[in-house]
Amino acid sequence: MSLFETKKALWTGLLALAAVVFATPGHAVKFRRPFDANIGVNYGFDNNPGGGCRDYACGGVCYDGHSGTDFPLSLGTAVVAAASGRIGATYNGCANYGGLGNTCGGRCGNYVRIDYNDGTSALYCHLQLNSIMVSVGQQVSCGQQIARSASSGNSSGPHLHFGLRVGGANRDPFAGSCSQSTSYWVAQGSYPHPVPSTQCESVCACSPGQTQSEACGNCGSRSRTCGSNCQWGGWSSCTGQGECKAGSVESRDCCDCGSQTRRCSSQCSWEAWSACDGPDPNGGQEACETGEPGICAEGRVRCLQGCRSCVRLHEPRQETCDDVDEDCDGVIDNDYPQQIGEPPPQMAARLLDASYSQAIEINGQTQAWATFRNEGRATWKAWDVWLVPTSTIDGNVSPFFDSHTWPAFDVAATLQEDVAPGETATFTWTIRAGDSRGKIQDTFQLTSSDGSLMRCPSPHVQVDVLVTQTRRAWEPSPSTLPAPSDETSGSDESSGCACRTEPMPKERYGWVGLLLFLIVRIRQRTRQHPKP
Amino acid sequence: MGWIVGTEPRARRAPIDSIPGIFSYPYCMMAFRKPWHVVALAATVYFATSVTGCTQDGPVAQSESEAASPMRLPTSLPGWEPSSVLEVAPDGRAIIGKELAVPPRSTARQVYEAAFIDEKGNSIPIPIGSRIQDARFAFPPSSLVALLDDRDRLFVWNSKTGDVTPIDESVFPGFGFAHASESIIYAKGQTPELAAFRVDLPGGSPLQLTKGDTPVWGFAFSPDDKQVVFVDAPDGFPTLVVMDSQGGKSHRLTNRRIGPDDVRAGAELAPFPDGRRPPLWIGTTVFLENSAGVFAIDRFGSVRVRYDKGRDLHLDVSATRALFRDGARVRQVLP
Repeated sequence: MSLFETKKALWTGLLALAAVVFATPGHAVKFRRPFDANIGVNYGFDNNPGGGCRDYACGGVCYDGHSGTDFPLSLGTAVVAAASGRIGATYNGCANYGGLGNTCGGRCGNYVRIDYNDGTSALYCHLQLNSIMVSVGQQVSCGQQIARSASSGNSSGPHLHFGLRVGGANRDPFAGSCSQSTSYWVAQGSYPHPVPSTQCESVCACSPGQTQSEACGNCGSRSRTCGSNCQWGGWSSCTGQGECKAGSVESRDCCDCGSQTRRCSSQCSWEAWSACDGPDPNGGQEACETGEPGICAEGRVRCLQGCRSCVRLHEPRQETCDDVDEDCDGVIDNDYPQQIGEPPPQMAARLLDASYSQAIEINGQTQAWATFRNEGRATWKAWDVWLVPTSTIDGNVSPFFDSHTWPAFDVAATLQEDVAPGETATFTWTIRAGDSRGKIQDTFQLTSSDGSLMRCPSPHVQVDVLVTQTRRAWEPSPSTLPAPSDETSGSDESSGCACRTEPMPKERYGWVGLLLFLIVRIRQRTRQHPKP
Repeated sequence: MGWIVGTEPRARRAPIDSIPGIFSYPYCMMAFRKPWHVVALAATVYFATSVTGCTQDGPVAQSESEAASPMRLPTSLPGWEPSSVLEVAPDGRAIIGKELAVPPRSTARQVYEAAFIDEKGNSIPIPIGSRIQDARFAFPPSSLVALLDDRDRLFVWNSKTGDVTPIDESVFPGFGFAHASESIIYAKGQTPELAAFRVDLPGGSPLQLTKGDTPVWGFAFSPDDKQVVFVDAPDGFPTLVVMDSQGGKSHRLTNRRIGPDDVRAGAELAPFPDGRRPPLWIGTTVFLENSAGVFAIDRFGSVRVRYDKGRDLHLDVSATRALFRDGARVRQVLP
C-alpha cells in the first residue's frame, strides 16, 4: 500500500467515524402509548427477516413481515402523539374499512407521520376518514390528539398500526432478546400483550432553582423558576405591562371631518387625544347661515372639533347708526347709537333743541317744541314724519294727551313740510296735565308714517313735568317759553335729553323782589300807624 | 383482483335478440373442464368485445346503462375452484389462477396458483413459481408478461423465449406496460411511502420517477406512451396525477380545485382508487375504479360517466375499450 493510499484510507476512516458520531442522535425519543385506552398489543413487529414471525421476546405475537405494532382500537378511538414532534406527512381519503389487500394510502390507509428530533419517525396507520386533526409542518406535543382510529387501507379490522422508523428502517419499539436492548417506550409494559404507559417522556429543560425573566406585554416583565423536576414552572403574571406599546400612535376619525391622534408614552400609557380640528371644507370659503341676527348671520363652514360648523364671519360690535344690527341682538340701531355710519341710515334724526314747561297746574296745558335735524339719506316728506308718544307704543295713552290739538291720540305732531337731509324741522305740540298732582313723563319719538321708529342718533325727546295744584307766580306762562331756534347750546345731545338747561334770566324774576319789598313796607307802615 | 368471463359460443353467431332468454340461459353458464376451454374463452372474449362486438351491435347497446355484453361469467373452473382468468392476450394467451388462501395478515389482496395458457391451448407452468398476486401482458405484439409473486418480487417473462428477468423487489401491485415500447412502470418502497420506477426492457436499469414520499401506484401509459397517469397524494389526499413518462413534475388530473392544506376535502371527493384495479388510459379518457364504482374521466378531470357498483375494470383484448363487471355481466364503459 502506498503512502497516498495509506493517507486516503486514514482520512476515509476518520470521515466515517465522524459521520457515525454526528449522525447518532444525542437523545433517543421515548414514546407514550399513542392512545389513552388501556389496550395492549395484539400483533407485534416481526423481527425475523426470513419466513415466519418473531416478536421482540422471540415469541409469536406477530405475523410474518409485520413492520409495526398493532393495537386493537375500536373505530373512532382518539389517537394521540406518542411524543412531541413535527408532522411529516398526512394522508386522508381512504374508506374506513379497507380490507386485506387494499392499497389505499400505500396500504397504510389514512395515516399521519410524525418526525422526531432524534431522526426517528412514527407512522399512525389505518385512521378514520376525515379524522386527521393536524397538518404537515405542524408541531405537536406528546399526548396531543392527532386523529381517530379505523380500519382504512390494508386492514382486516379497526386497529392502530404504530410503525417506528429509525434511520429510514422499520424498527420494533419494544426492547427484548429478539429486538434491541433499549426500549423506545417510556414504560413498555409486560409481555405478551404489553400496554405501554401513557406517561410522556420527561426531558430536563433547566437546572433546579434557575430563574428566567422576559419582557411581556408592553412595558411589563415576568419570570419563571425551574422546579426540582428539571422543568420550568409557570410564568408569573405580567406586571406593568401597560396599555399600549411605547411610541405607537393611534388615530381615529373625528365627527365628520379631520382626524385626531394620540401617542403611547414611554410608560406605555396613552396620552390625550390631539385636537380634532382639521382642514376647513372648501378652503374655508363655503358660505353658510349661522342663524344669528344682524351681521352675525353671515358665516363660513369650518371644521371645529372634527365637525362641520357654521362660524360667524363677523363678530358683534358696537352699534352705529347705519340701518345694520351690529351688536347682533336682533334690533337694528337700537339704544340710539350716536355715531353715524357710512353710509348713514335711510332715516335718522338728531335732536337739536327742545323746550317745555317743567311744571303745569292741574288740568293745565302748555306748548312744547323740539327741533330735529335730518341726518339720514332720505328726505322727510311732509305728513310722513310723526312725533309720537312712546307710551302709546306700549298700548297706553300718553299722560300729555291733548285731544284738542293732537292729530291723533298717538300722534302729538306731524311734519308740516319736506325736510331734506341736513336740514332741520321743528315740531310743536301741546302737552296737557291731568287732574292729579305729581310728576308725569313721556318720551316723544319721531317715526315714519308707516309706523317704523327712527332709531338714531337722537330722534326723541323726553318730557318730564311736575303737575302742581296751581300755577306758581314764578312759573313762566306758556308765552314766556323760549322760542325754538337753531341754537343747540344748552341741549344735552349726547344723552338725548331735550330739556333746556340754561339758567333762568334775572329780569324774569325781578318783580318777586319788588313784591317782597312792597309787602315789607306795608307791614312797617301798619306798625307805625296802627288803626284806631 | 381476478375476473372471469365466459360465454356460450352460439351467442356470437346469432343475433342476441334472436336467442330467447339469453341472459338467463343456463347453458351459457357451462363450466370449462380443460385448459383448451380457456383458450376458447379468451378467443370468445376477443371477438365478443371487438369492433363488431355485441356491445355495439346488440339491442342492449341502446343506452349506456344497457351497453352490456352478452357474456356470462362462470364463477369457477372445475378442479380449480375458485379460479380466475387473471389476464387475456389478443392472441388467446391467458393466465388463469386458482385462488389460494391468503396468508393471515398478508399485505396481498389475493394470491393465486397460476398457469399460463398459450395460443394453442397448452398449459405451461409459470416459471417463477406458482404463487403470484398480479400479472400483466404487454401490449401486442410483445410476448412479455409481468408477474408479481407473493413476496412482492416483480419479474418479466418472455412467454416465447422462456427468459425470465427479475425486475425489482418490494414492488407494489398495480404496474403498467407501455403501448409501443417494452417499458414497465411500477411502484416500490417502504409503504406507505413509495416511488415510481421505470424500466425499459430488455436490460434497462430502474429509473426513479418520483421522490418516494407519497403512496403512488396504479400506472397507465397514455396511448402514445408520452405520459403516464397514476394515483398520488401530492397534498395529502389521493388523486390522479399525470406526468411525463420520462419523469418530471406531475400535475393533478382530479381534485384540481382543492387547496394543498385542505386535507379533509380531498377525502370527500370521489373518485379515489382503493387498489382494486389500476387506471386505464384509452384515447383521451382515463378509466378508474374505486369502491364506489367505475368512472370515465376526461382530460380536464371531470367525471363523464359513472357506473355505481361496477367493478373489475379492464381492457378488452383489442386494448381499445374499457370493460367492467356489473354483477354477472360484462359491460363497456361508454365515455
